[in-house]
Amino acid sequence: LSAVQLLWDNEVVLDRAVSWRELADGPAPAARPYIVAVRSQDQAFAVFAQGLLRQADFAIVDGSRLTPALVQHLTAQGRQVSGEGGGAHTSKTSVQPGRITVLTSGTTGMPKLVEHTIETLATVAGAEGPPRRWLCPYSPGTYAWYQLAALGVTVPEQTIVAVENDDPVAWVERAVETEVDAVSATPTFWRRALLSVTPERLRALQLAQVTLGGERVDQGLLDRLSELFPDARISHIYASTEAGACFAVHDGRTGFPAAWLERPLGNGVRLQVDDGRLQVSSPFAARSGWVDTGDLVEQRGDRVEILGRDDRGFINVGGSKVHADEVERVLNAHPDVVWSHAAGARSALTGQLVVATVVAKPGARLDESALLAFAAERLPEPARPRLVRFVSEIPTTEAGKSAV
Amino acid sequence: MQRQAVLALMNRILETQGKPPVRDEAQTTRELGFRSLDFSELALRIELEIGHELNFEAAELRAITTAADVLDFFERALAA
Repeated sequence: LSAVQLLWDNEVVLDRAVSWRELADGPAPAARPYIVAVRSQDQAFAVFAQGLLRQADFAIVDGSRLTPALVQHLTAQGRQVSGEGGGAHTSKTSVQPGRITVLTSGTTGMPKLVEHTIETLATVAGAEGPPRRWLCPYSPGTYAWYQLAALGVTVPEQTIVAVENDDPVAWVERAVETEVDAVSATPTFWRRALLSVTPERLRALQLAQVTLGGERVDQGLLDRLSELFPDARISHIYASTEAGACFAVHDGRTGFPAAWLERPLGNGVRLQVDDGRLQVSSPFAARSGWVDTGDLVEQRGDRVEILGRDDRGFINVGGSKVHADEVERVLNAHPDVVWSHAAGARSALTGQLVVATVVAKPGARLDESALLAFAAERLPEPARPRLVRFVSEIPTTEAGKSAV
Repeated sequence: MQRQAVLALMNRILETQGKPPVRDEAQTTRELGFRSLDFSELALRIELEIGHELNFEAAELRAITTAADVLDFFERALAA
């Protein structure tokens, strides 16, 4: 592992190249449940490996997510945050060896802390498959990232090549150079790649497996990927931090066979539809029993199609899920803002951009640049509004509630 | 909408982020710190100005490396 830097309680305890063995015997955090904010994939894998080798009680979060509000939220739940942006906090929870806490994406506000173990995370089929070299573009600490990391450490001959998600040209070059033959990524990841990289260059990837997850997939993308990689199996998986791994579809079509609603799947997962929403019961879930996925589904012939989220949803900025409530919370914290509404505006390049409608205090001399700068200091980049429209009145319903 | 107006919008996006404006169209987008989200914002602001969506070929985006490329791109999209 090159250039590994580990921080505990904001103190650098390791900052150099290390071997896995050395890492296992190296500096350890206090015997408390801990969360490490990481700044690179290398660092994340190092923390993950060390946590597993030491049977620690830990979580990983991408440093860019660690806003003061999140630190406060985690601290309130008795977790110690170490690393970038975090301070030392006394944990109020007891240690459970082997517990790996996964933070949800926080689409309904602050992220939830969902408890997993290496057993519930190691669900990517690989043990019975051929040796693979997987590209991992997922942000460290996300459920999908843990799934690939777990595959890499639990199944022999499954290699993980981690890349940063931001630059499609760079990841393609890295994937070609490292002879990656399997890619697990979101549909947005592929859409960005299709926009930025020539088909000829993409075909240089000798892929045997393309796995899509994390977002609803559309038929056009499945077809395009089949065209580009005719020798690859194109799969889309259904999984979430809370529901756990559920199923994988390999037939090149969106949705899943309606017959799957009638009997347990081979992996023990059960599916049902209640009031148009998909519910799952998975042995890989953080808790037993039925979990409401919040996804709206519809049966069309022999297929069940996934329509989208049943709540207000999130704004999808280049694959990053931005919750409008969080953006509004920040905008509303500005002393000259009375009301704000955040939404997604269509963008050909990134899917959506965050735009805001704002009502300023009467007489306030608030301009767009000042408000954008205010938000930029408090929100991660994808969540920053890109455009602000000022209106004079709050749109309301007859009941006096906000109409949007 | 003229090239100068597009450049002014581009500079405004950079300035809002505390980055220096374009001083030479040969400057690369990387050097300017003009990233994909900024490009998307520029497209959105132009669409608001002209009152309709731009039509452009996604393939053309691959060739963009400098500020001049950005301005050329939108010149073509506006003329389409």
